[in-house]
Amino acid sequence: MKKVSLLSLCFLLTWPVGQTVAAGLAVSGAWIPEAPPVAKVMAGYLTIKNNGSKPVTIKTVKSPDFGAIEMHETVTEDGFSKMIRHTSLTIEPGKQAVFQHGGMHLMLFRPQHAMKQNDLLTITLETSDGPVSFQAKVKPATLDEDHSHQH
Amino acid sequence: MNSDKTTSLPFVLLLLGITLVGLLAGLFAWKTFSSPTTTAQAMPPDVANHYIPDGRPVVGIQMTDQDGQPFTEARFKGKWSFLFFGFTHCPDVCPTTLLILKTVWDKLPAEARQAPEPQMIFVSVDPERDTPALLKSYTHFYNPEFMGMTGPADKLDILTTQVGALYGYEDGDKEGEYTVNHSAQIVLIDPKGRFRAVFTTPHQVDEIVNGFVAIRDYYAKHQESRK
Repeated sequence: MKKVSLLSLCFLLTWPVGQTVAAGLAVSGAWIPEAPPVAKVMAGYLTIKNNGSKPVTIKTVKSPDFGAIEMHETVTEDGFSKMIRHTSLTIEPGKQAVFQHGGMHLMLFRPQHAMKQNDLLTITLETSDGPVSFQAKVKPATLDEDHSHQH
Repeated sequence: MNSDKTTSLPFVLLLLGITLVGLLAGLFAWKTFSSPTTTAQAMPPDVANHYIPDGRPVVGIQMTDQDGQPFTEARFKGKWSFLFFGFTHCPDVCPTTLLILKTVWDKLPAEARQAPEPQMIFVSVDPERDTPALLKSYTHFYNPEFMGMTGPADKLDILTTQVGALYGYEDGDKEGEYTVNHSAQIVLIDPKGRFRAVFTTPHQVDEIVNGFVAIRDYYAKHQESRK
């Protein structure tokens, strides 16, 4: 069992867009749609799965590439769109949080430099179980939401 | 002798019979030959789901376009206009809507894009941060054919109230970042500057493409000649 886990870990670490297994959380499919160069705010989409046996709470998110990062949720009711800020997010064991268009997203404030397609940006989730770092790839802005299986 | 013939029962029955046949024939002819497109129920679903039959002219518009030029309702005349509301500090909904409309634009059949081309206008409800130049750069990233416009709150309200759009500002955080909540619908203004249709969320590219094509056709047949 240990051997299999170690092999899996090595295999996972070789994926170009980092799927990171640390503590109980696994981050996959992290991507950032390319935005207009003048945009002061970008969005980050990803899937975070809790493979551990206890709940994990994400408290803050940061990156050297952005001035600040917050977790937000788009809520559109009767045609009116709002963003609700989540100052923390708890993921129960076995569950996952999916950040995608029209729902949860990372709000990436003040990009610190120009960001082009294929750039890899490092983002860290500060969690109750320690930091979880992953890389998000800047991809062409498209409506396609299914990036969770692309690497 | 005559009176006997005209008042006899068989004759009366014959008259009644002829009248009845005549009535039935008339009814049949009316149902068969009356144009179904003159009734509201005959609007195809692609149209009926979005169309505003008694669309009112949008007036009193005093906005500023992305080149710093005045935008009044005169610029709605002679072409279809898609309007949607947002702000450039919006990470999710606004880029998504811009992408939807870019995809709609690419998928429109040639005759729906023929001169005059429809105009796609991103109206910023955040004039404090979204200057005309910023809007131009922002919208052109998605499609250089798109246009941005904005205006101070009182001028914005003249437009938003006439097309049923709402917006509101949330308090800023310690960095001064604030978000703007806003209506996400896409509004269609007809070539006579009247509020003519709405596409509500969730936005689907095909629904908007098919809807616009059907609305154009329906409008050409039924509305164009009206005042």
